[in-house]
Amino acid sequence: MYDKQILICAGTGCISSGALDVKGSLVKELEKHNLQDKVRIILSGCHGFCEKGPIFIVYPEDLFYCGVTAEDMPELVEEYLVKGNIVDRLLYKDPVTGKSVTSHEDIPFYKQQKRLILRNCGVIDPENIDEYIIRGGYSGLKKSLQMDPKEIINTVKNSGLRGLGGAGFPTGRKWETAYKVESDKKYVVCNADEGDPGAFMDRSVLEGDPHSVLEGLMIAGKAISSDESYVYVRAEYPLAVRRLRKAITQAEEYGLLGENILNSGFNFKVNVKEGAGAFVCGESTALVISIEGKRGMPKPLPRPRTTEAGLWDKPTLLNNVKTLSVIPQIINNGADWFAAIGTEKCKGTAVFALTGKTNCSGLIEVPMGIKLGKIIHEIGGGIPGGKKFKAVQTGGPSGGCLPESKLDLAVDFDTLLEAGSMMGSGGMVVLDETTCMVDVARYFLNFTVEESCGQCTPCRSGTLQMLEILNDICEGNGREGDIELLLELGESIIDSSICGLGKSAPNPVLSTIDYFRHEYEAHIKDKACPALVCKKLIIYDIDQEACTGCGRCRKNCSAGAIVGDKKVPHVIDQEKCTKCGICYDACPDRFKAVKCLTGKKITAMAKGGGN
Amino acid sequence: MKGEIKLMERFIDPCCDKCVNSKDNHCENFVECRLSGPICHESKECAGKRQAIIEKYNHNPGFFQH
Repeated sequence: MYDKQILICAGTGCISSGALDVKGSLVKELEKHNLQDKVRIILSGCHGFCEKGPIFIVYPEDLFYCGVTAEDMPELVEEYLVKGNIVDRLLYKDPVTGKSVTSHEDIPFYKQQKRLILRNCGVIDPENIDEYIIRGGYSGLKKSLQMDPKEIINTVKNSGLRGLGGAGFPTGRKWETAYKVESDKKYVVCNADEGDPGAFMDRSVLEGDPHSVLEGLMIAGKAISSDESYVYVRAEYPLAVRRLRKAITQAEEYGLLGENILNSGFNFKVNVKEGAGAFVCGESTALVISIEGKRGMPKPLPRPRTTEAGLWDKPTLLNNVKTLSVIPQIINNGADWFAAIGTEKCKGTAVFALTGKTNCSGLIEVPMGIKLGKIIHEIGGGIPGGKKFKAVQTGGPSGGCLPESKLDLAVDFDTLLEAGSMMGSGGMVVLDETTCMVDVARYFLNFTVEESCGQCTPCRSGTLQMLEILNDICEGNGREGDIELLLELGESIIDSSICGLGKSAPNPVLSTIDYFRHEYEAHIKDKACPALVCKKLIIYDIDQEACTGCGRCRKNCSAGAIVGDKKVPHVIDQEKCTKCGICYDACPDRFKAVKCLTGKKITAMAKGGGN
Repeated sequence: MKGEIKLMERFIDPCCDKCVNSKDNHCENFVECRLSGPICHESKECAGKRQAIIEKYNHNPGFFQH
């Protein structure tokens, strides 16, 4: 047996931060000290605390090292593995007390989480089916093979599980609909397209616990009498695709997938279909069409439900990665176990990719009903640099922005919808005082304009019109009536678009107008960007009384836009200035001579119109 | 072969000649058997082989969940 087992996070995030180099260096150091047979290295899926990656945990003592590099390995092996001395500089430091924390369970980021969907991510080697089985894997499948389909469906219904892909539709009810349809062939489809920018929840489950998705697919298949499935996974997730394919091979080898599974007479096949990178293919009808090899475009209403006629016009049950991943535990532990977590109408947990202006960005899983403020300030560790929280954007491009007044919200599908946003697939972007809310709305709208399939005029042309108005506003060309026009356009696009992409595209604009109308008005009436972001509405200027001519700004200016002799107050040439802000950062705090200004008068200066 | 102790390195490996699980004949109790078996016969040695695999991966309390 091993003396130590070292778990290195090998999700895509930590790999890009050098996790594989860490492993390579660790292997060399272990060999140098002849420890290679005494120490086992596990490359796990995403452990969650991406801000502090690469993550490196030593078991059995659960010693949590973070931000490790390949260059740290000689010291870490020599000092800790050989001599038993903890390398303090690599431990997590509590941001309040400054004290070192040794166990990840004591870190605020992890303490308030409840990891059901992510229970194996960062814990097991996802490429080892034995570890999955040891953790209770495939026991749910075994149990379901002895259950009547109605019994399986009732368990899922009674659990209260709602679809975690965004819409929050009751999963059991969807399964029941698919079960009741009579057909010679039915399909189960796993939606792993995950098109929201910055979202990586589904990717992490596929990378970190692919067998849970396979098991969920099979249980779903048993429930609705299907013998074939597709996992539609975006091609931009090569690691997830590789681990999924490996998991399929292993499960087939173990008789846990394929023909006559566990001698039950139940056959099930899993196909992997890589997507072509279109956001709209996350929409169920477009996804199905894409699997069929056609251009992914949503079907207009009226159309049959996918559960009645989906893939090749056969009844098709479509669920998100996270939804399927938690099914085996619900079957194993029972409906009541799951229903005891969360709120009255939203059971279980939600997985969020917490990103943006937060001290602790990463992947988190929390019980439904947790307060939004708790996620931002306790789990997320608040806003870096002493800045003030401004808003949180949830639900990706289909969602909205919620201000400080909503931090007391108990997060679930319904409350977020009522507040003007949505849970979506789980994106959560934190914004601070330096964020321009008009610019944020523009960013998300730009994304949906790019991704529109073009089929219906409201989405294709309507969102483009909205974007052009937003561009005008951000460039100082906003006009009286623009806000009202945006609202009118937005409502009409929501009413008349064919699919969910179009229907939700205006959400970021509408929610920011709702909560941050004053910013829009400042842009339009005062030609000012309160957050000092929109380049056409700001200038950088040097206070002649505060400037001592130290030259730091001039030396750092890559555009050569600052002139001035030593010890003489410098001046910025507005025609050359690119508004990068480097001079602002370079100016020493004791002088603070470089100012960022906005407003009508200043905008005229910036446009070369003088005072 | 009779008397030979065969290593069981992965759960898919048979614990001994009595194991009937194979590619063409899946044992319905495979999962249960590998975690707390053997089921189809009694053998402390075979139980030990399973335990060895579990212990090999059991890197912290609470890892093994059955």
